[in-house]
Amino acid sequence: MNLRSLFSLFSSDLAIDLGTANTLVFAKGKGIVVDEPSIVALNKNTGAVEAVGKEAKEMLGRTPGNIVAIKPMKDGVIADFKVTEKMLNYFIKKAHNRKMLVHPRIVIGVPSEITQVEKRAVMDSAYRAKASEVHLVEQAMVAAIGAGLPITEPAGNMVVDIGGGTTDVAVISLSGIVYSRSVRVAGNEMDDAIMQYLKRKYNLLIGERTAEMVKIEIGSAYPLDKPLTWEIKGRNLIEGIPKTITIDDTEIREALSECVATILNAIRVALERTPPELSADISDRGIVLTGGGAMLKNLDKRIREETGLPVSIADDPLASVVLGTGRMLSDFKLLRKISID
Amino acid sequence: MNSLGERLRSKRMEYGVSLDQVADRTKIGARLLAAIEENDFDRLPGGLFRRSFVRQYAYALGFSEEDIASDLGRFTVEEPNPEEVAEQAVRSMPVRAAGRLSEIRIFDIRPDSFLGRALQPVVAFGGLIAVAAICATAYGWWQPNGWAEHWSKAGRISASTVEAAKPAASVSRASLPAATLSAASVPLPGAALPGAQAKATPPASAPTAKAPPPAASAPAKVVPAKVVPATGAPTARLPTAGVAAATPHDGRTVTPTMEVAFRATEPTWVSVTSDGRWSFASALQGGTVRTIAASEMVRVLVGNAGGLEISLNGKPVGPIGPRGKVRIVELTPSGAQIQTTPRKLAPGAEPL
Repeated sequence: MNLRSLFSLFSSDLAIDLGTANTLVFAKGKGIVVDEPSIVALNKNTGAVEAVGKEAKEMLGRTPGNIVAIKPMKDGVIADFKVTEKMLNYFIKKAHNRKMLVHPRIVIGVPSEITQVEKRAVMDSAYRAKASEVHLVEQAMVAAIGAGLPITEPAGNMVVDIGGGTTDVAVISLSGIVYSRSVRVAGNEMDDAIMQYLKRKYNLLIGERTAEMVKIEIGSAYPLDKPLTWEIKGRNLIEGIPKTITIDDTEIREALSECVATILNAIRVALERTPPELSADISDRGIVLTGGGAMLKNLDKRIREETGLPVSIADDPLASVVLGTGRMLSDFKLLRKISID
Repeated sequence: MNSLGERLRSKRMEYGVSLDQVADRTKIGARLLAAIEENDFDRLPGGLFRRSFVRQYAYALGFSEEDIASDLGRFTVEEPNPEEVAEQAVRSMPVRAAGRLSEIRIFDIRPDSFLGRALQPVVAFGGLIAVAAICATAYGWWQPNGWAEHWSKAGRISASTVEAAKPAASVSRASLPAATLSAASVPLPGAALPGAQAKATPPASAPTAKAPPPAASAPAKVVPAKVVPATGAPTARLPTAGVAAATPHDGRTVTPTMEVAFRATEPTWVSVTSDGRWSFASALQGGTVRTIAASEMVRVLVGNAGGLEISLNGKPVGPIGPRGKVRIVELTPSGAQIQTTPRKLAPGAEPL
């Protein structure tokens, strides 16, 4: 028993959804204690952390020369190792009310098609952030647990977790993954698509935050019952001055069509690869959507129309992964069996 | 009040749509929809599906979330966690009925219990004290004469010498052999440096012209290869930092002709020899100023050349070297000479 595991006795075990867009932390016996954007604002001159999470998100795209707001996660994996470590450190401390000598056991959900190098980066970051034990679990699996799917039954369940950086599609039966696939098209890609669309069609340059807001407010995957419009403010590329335009949901749907098609394709491929017995179960139970992307308006309707299967959305799609990971904390023996490291 | 299934069926009848039409719209099998209408929810898949399917059917018939909220409530009961169930069972069990001894908890001090949380800082602090006590005992046992020797040594050695032990890490980082350091911290004569002695000119010979005058009376130190140590000197007392450089052991006072001031701009380790005798070694923090007086020569080993400013008789010597580099500076009343240290000292070479 080393010193870290000694200290772990005095720390709450943590489940972390280290997402591209948001990081959520679940502390055993407490629930979700941190729910903040995965953004860090750094001072370029000193290298010191200026802000993390919500505060840093406010700074995104509005920083002076000496401060830079960084999203250390990209496509579901770590893009900036050092900054991720600082961010994790901050969140772990926050989860423990800034107590000293904190060495928790940590469970982290990662995309299913993660490489060995990326896996290693996540583990190292957590260890450097003073974890005493780190376990990685597949996001799709924990998303299913968090959403409340009966995964222990000998029946097929299909879960689609649309996060910030990746979309994970998995077929689960008897607490195991039968098929899983991860595509790097999700929330952030949709924001990009909206930015590109407005630039191409209206010569209007907008920031990431505005694009995300447009997606949340009027983004949809299937025609809405009641049309929506939104006022977008940005910089006109030709005139170089700020400009405001009004846009409706049809245009945003067009902008998002490519991303939605990619996700649909991933689902279709998963259905094709599913063993026939499980296919029969899935035709009864349908598909469950989790993750922030599941909140895109009428995405469930679109998938229902395209696949002919019933589609359900998790009750709290944003927190599904962290809730599922958190449930694993109560059984470390089971966790050691199913963790992918 | 009608049950949910009946309400859904009557609404569907009201619209005049068949189960198949609803099934076509929601893609939920007609068999499952029929089960909902019959309030036979066990026929539905478990967990999230049950609630989701009822909700989708209700939405398809134009019900709002409020209309069905109370009915959905019954499905929101989470399946209990098996471990929690087991734990509750153990807690509610009388102590004698508990199966294993390990399950009997008189004081529940697990980290997530109330008592456990309250005791956390106490236990952590107690643990640290216990570790410290174990280390102290181990040290006393490992030292031949235990703590007695430690304290007597501490009394003899001046504060600056004790400090010399601290920068061990920084010196070894500067790739100086460990032996060099130990010799530098406790500059005992001849015996401590067999290599240097081997190179020295025959014993009992007079010091060469280059040897500093104090060496003649107290020839305790082996200084650079050119300087000959006069062996046979019985003991060398460790000098007291600062003023000792100008006061030889026989009590003769030599008028200092130079005053050297060190000012650290950032944390820097220095080891100083004045007039051939080791003076002090210390990790100077940024802003620290130390001054020593000497008559002949001051030799300084600097661990972080960029972080130290040296002035000789009030005049700055100028930059010694880049940050993080190791340099040797030799100061005489006439000026300063800067040397870069070799990666490894030659065997038998004189350490600072």
